[in-house]
Amino acid sequence: MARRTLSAAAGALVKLSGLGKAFERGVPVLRDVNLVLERGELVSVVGPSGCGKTTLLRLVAGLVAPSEGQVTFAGAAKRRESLSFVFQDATLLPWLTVLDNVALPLKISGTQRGEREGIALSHIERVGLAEAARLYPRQLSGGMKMRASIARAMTVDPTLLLLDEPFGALDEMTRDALNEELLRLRDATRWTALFVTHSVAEAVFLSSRVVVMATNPGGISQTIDVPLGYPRTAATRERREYVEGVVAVTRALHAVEPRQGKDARRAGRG
Amino acid sequence: MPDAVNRSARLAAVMSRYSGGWGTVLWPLVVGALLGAAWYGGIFLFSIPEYQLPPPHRIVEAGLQERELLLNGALQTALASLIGFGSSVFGGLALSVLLASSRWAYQGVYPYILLLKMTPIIVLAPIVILWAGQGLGSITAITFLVCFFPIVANTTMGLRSTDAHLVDLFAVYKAKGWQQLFWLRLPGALPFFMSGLRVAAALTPIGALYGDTVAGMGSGAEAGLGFVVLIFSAQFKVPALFASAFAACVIGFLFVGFVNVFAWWVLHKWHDAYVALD
Repeated sequence: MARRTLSAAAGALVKLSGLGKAFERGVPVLRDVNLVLERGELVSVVGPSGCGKTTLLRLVAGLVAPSEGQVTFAGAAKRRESLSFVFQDATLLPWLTVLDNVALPLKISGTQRGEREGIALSHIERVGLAEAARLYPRQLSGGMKMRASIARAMTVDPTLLLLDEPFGALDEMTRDALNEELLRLRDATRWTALFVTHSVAEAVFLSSRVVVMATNPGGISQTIDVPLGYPRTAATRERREYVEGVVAVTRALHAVEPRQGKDARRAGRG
Repeated sequence: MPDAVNRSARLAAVMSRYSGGWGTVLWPLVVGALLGAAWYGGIFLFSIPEYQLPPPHRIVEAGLQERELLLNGALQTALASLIGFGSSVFGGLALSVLLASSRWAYQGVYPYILLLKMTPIIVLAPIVILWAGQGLGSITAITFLVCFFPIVANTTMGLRSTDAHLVDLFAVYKAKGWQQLFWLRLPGALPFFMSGLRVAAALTPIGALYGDTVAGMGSGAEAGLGFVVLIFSAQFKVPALFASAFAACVIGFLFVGFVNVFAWWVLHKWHDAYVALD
């Protein structure tokens, strides 16, 4: 339950130390965030809207620069590890087929066409989209688009995967199915992940630790360990440890967010 | 995006109701026949003289009689249109990329493009002729000036409205500037570019014909359609005047039609507005 110290265990992949971000007019969005991601760990971040969850991911991704503190990757100040980002929307380019979309990161890094299509196809198959490889995004359902987006994130063989409420717009059944699939992918590939969500159930199901953030200014309020091992399956949702985890995270959330209503749930996408 | 899917499905349903089957051929013919009857009927009823409204068969006759002048004029005008339109497409695209490349360029340069757009072509034309002299050069320059703005305005807007999440995506994978431009910004701006292209295509024959009337050369082979109109008008050849209006109309149709087909070909696979027209 205590905040992790920065003694940087041997397996640490990413270290956030005293991380803070203020945008224009000096209003702090995030303050003094300290967090260590161990290699192979899957950590979820939950919190009320406006607590800076998305900003936290963008800082780790290097999409925005921190105002204070720093993000360190396995010791070095620059991110040398390969990194992938899964956004809230599927962010597929509408003019490219699923295959070309999934192969895009490899195209950017200069991989030859034949090679990158082979790699992309294998990831498309792994997320169950083989039939849809030649279709355009507009021909896919929301769940299929998200699968394509995940396949795309996998093509660069990421060491670190950042996910920003990737399943927020999906119905619950699709979301559960994709959660299970994400864990299956992880068993095969072993990336480290930081997963932002507004679903407590999803956070507990996926991760070994759930970071609960508070707002005004945003920062880590508590970290809750989930005492469940991997692999996890649909049956894991019936385990006592899972239910207790959900209760603990929900309590922690209520502590930082007294008026948790439906508008807060909705606004949590921001 | 179930919304977008619903929208395109609805659009497809509406389109098929209005464009399906025999209706597309039959109704224009019926209305055409009615218009023709009204035309002849009006001339007969109100005894309208030919120098005010010639009957359709006289226009066809005049068109055949003057076919050499008309055909050559139409070719000249089409040539000026093509060069003017083509150069405005390439110039417009290049300028749009420049304008969208930095806030500085946009804020600094765009007001002057607006200024140029606000200056009526009627005032600009004499200046163009002063610099480029009579003939094809001036005519294409006038056409260029008329087409240029809609292409720049639309394309620039398209290039500047790239989805921020997609920009982030390219940043995460460390895309270079040119990769972002050619693989993200330009394809994303295509629908906007096509809108600009359609407006420009409709304006092209107007620009070229106007260019003919002020900068055209009457020496036979080089007389564009606009100049031919001036000749017929001066000679009071009213049926031939109507025939040249028809020829100008055909040029306009070809231009707009070509651009529409091109836009459909480029966009129909992925863009909702064109998907419904499959």
